Amino acid sequence: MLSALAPRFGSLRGLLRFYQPQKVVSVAAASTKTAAQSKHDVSSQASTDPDDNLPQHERWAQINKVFYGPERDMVNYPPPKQCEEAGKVRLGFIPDELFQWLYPKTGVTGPYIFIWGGVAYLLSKEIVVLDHTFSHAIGFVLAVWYLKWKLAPWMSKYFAGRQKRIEERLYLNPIKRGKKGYEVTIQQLEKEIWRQDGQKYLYEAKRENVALQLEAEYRRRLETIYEEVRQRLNYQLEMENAKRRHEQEHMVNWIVSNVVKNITPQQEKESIASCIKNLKQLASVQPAV
Amino acid sequence: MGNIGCYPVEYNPKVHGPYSPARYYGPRDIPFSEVKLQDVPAWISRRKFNPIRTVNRAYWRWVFKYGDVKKGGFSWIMQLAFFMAAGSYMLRYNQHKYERHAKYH
Repeated sequence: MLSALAPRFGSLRGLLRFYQPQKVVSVAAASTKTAAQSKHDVSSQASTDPDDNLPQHERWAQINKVFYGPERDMVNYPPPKQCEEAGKVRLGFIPDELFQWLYPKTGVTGPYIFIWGGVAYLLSKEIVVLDHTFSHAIGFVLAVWYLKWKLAPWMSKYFAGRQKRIEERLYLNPIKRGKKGYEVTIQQLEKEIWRQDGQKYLYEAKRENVALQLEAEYRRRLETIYEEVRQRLNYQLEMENAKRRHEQEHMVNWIVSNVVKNITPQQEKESIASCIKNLKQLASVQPAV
Repeated sequence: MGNIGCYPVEYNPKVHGPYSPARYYGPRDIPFSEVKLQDVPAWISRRKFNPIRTVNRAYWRWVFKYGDVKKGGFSWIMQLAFFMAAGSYMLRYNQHKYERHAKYH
């Protein structure tokens, strides 16, 4: 039963939930529009508000502009803050403020006189009637005090731990997670910057590579031109050579054939005779071995 | 009562900041504890009174002061118990009144 009642008054809070702001962020963003809109269209703007599509940091900037702008009255309306400890009480439940209020008027015993005197008045005038149900009140008070005696230390510890867990879950852990995420992002971005530095060298290397390719292409074309020109020149040379050779052969053949045609048998005989005579003369000068 | 579920008419986020259900956003006046007894009717007439909002605000002031704190205690349970006991006594006050011993006090 305690667990149903205790956690941040959840069961009681639910009763009055329809009075509470449904969505602070959307209302805050909407309040930049007219005041009438923000007052009457809380629920309808939650889904259709174009500010919902803004990036989170821009939305935060907008909300800060609304909540902490130049018109903000920080003296009379400081930002709400969760109290460290519960308000001080006397007798387990009477607020200390009552005593502080009465001290300057009645002295230090005044508040107790006021309380017990009031109780005596209520009993003597039978405004609080001492009927058979008064025993219930005694039992109720004893039971509550027994519960306080037994449970108060444990509950204080439990609530403190619970608040700490809630704070960690809702506030500290998201910050921690965000920081971790941003650290990873920063590392990645630094790596990207490092890679960009490398891109410079890569670009130069590629540029050099392209220059080399251009040079190679240039030289290949030069070689092609050289080859082509050489082939054409060789062709011309061969042509000239062939022509000259042919002319020469033709002239030689023509001259020889004409010479051979003009040799008579008489001349042939004379030449053979002179040859033999020469041979004999040679043989007499240089005898055969 | 036409604006149930909405913020108070006086609430302006640009001046008052984030909404707190425990705060009174009407025109500022001297605190009730410092009002002289003869000035109380004038003080009440100056103040805009909406019973639902008043109860709601009192509830949230109580919650923020005794319940929803970092180092919670047992006092809110005691106060709740006292409130419920006193309330149930008052609801059945006619039955209790029937049990009176004396007619004249």
